[in-house]
This record gives sequence, structure tokens and C-alpha cells, in this order.
Amino acid sequence: MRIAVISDIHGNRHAFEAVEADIAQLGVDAILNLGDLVSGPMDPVGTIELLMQRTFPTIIGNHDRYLLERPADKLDRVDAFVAGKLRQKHLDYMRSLPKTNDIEGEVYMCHGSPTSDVEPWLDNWWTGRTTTMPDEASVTAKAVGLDFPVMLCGHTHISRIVRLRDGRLIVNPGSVGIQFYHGAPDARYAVLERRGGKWSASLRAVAYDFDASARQAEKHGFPEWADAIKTGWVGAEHLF
Amino acid sequence: MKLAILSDVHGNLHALDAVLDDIAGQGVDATLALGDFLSGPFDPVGVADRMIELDLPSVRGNHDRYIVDGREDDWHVDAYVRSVLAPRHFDWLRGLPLTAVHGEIVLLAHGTPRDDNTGWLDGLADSNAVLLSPEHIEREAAGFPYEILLCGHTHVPRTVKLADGRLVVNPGSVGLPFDSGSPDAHYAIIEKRRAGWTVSLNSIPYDYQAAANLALGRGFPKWAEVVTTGWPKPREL
Repeated sequence: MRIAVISDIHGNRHAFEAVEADIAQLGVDAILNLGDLVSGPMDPVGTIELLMQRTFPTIIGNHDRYLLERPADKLDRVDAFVAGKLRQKHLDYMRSLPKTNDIEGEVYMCHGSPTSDVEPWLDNWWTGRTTTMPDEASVTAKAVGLDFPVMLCGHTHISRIVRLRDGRLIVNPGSVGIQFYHGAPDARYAVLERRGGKWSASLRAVAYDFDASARQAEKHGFPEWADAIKTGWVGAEHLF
Repeated sequence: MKLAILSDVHGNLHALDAVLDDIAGQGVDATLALGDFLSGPFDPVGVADRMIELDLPSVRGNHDRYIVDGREDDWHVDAYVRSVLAPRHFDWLRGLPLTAVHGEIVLLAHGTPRDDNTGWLDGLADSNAVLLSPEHIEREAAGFPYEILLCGHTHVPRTVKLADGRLVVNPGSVGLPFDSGSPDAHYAIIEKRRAGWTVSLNSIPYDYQAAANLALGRGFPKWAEVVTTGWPKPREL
């Protein structure tokens, strides 16, 4: 059993297509998507049109929720740009998606933490350019009562694999579409594999045509996004 | 080209064999090893014999050097390892270079290409591993015009792409996953594709308790905790 986990595509269609191609080459039994689908000034409409053709389980992230809940004047600059591009059918699709999900009692999906789509699970939120892992007690506390061998989260754009003392796995696949301070522009996702009853995970970084995505951001008036896309060294505080 | 990369085995033969089993199913062209092979209270002799038998392209780590040369503030673990090795193991360690080049495009180093005891991608802040600055990472890469620059030492799996497209990859630690939140054995696979290199940072479950029991039997309980949980910090060792 092999499952690809994607998250935080943020409207970067080129990155998503490169990840899909890598997944196709690997061969998987399922794909799971952890949300923040469209919030980016690259190609939100092209991205959501592709996602609407896919049937894989998808949950929404905090930025998807903002687009559904907030009036235009309460959105940040990027989400306001995206809201201006989306059509009713796109919003209807996003509204149909759950905030958390689970796959056959084996794999649990959330965007931030099990109780909040804005709370990071496997990282202390970055200060400047550093992000660190929280201590064992706080990581473990958020998993109490979740009886799943694998728990998935996104939101932080930092890929990590944690295995709790009882053997349960928590995986953040990182971000497909926009890399924050970690030094590489490549698209990130994760692969889960169950062998002999045991789950393991790997974190993948896939090269893609990030210049093409950067040009889209630039054209739409978001040069700081273009810079982040090309280098992987820009912090979230400069983007939203 | 598809390559497996392993580093920082630290004497943990159970973890090493689990990784080698996984690599065997991946169809790689070569497996490269980045040093700190033996420094751990598990089975350093077993690891040394396995590495001598495999004869992989390898570089030495700082602890491999300490085991051979000693140092002023010798680690009790290095002293233990030194006491159980045979002359053939010392000969093998002495023959390991600081850096090596594989296939003309891949540079192997333990810390940085100039220093086996300097982290290339990560440093410690308040005892937490954090990514170092792009200036530091670029500076340590200056003068090494290889597509792929490999490093270990920090035990933090990580890949960074330099401004000119060169890729620095740290596979994490096979045998001693401190400060990682997982006891799994870590290693990496890199593969050249049309659009560039794909990196896979893999984590492999194995019989952690068997390794821990060896450390406990030799009187190293903190090391047993690292290999069963992955949470203790390097300074706790």
C-alpha cells in the first residue's frame, strides 16, 4: 500500500503538475490532499480546475476557509486577488470539502492540527528565518484520542516525519507550491508506505520549472512571491 | 543516475542493515557513505566489518578521526569503540578520505568539504536544529563545482538548492536520530530526472529495541533512549 500526500499547493499549477508526474512515475494506490489549494498569485483558476477533475480525498485549509467565509475587504492582498479570479463553481467545489477526513480508519487528515486549521503541529512557528520542532509533550498531546496509525498535517510548509512512542506516525509533506525559509525552491510532497503491517514515510523534493511560476506571480503584481518561488528563502510574513 | 546516500551510522548495525535492505529494493546505481560509521555503544565491530565487506565510496567523519587519532576531550563512547576494534578496522578508518568525488558530479563530505566537524546546512539554536544562513551554505560550497554536494554530521535530513542550481543534500542519520522526533533510520535517494534531481528523504522503521538493548548492556541508557524515541538532543549524549 503506497499513498502520496500533497498539501499547500497555493495556486501553483506548474509545481502541482510536476508532483503529479513524479507520483505517476512512482505508482501509488491513492493520493491525499491537505488543503490551501488556491491562495497564491500564480494560477489559482488553472489549479482549481485541475483539482476539480481529480477524485482524490481533499480537505480545505485556512486560506480556503478565508475565501469561503470572509468578505473581500477582510482578505489579505493575495487572497483578495484570488477571490477576484474564482467563479461560483470553484467556491462551490471548495465548500463541498471537509476540514478533516480519515481514510478507512488508517490515515487521518487535517490541515494545521486536529483542532485548528491555523495551529502548526510539528513546528514552532518561525521567528525570522528559523523554525524548530516543538517538544515531544506538545506534539504528542495533539494526537491524544486519534486512533490512527498515520496522521497527516500541512500548513507550516515544513516537511517532517515524527513517530510517537506508541508507533503512530505524524507526517507533514511540506508544500507543493510555495517554499518558505528552508532553502530550496523544489516542490515537496510525501509518500507513505505500509509494508509488513508497518507504515513508513519519505519526503520528496521535486525539481520543476519554478521560473515559469515566478513569472506568473510577477505578472500579477506579486514580485515577493516570485522571489520566494525562485529561491525558497523568503518567509511567510512577506507573502500574506 | 540513481544513488543511495547514507551517513552517521554510529555503530548501529540493526539500523544499517534495515537501510541496506531498503536500498536493495530501490535499484540504485551506487550507494555512498558519509562517515561517523562507528561512534556508538551498539555494534561498532559489526558495522566496521559490514562496511569493509561492502567497500562503498566513503568519506571519514569527525568521530572516525577521533577514534584513530584520539583528542584532548575524548568522548567516552569513542574510547569504548577504540577498545573493541581490531587492527583491520583501524586500517580501514585510516584509509578514509576527508572528501571524495563520485562519477565526476557528486561530492562526498561529512561536515563541509573543508572541515569534518562543521555543520553545512544546520546549526543549533537553544539546542534546537535550525537551518543556517544562505551566506554560510553558499560560502562552504565555493570552489566545489559539482552538481550534487553531499554532507552529514548534523543528523538533520535536509536538501538545499544553491543559487546556481547545485543541490546540497544531508540524508540524516542511519543509526542515531537525535532531535528528530522519530527513532526511524534515515537515508536518502537522489535520482536525476529530465527536470532535475528528485530527492527522497526516507525514514525506515527497524528493531529499535534490539539496538537499545546493546546500548543498555554497555551502560549507555541515554543512547538507548535516542534509538527508541529520536527525541533527546545531541548535548544529552
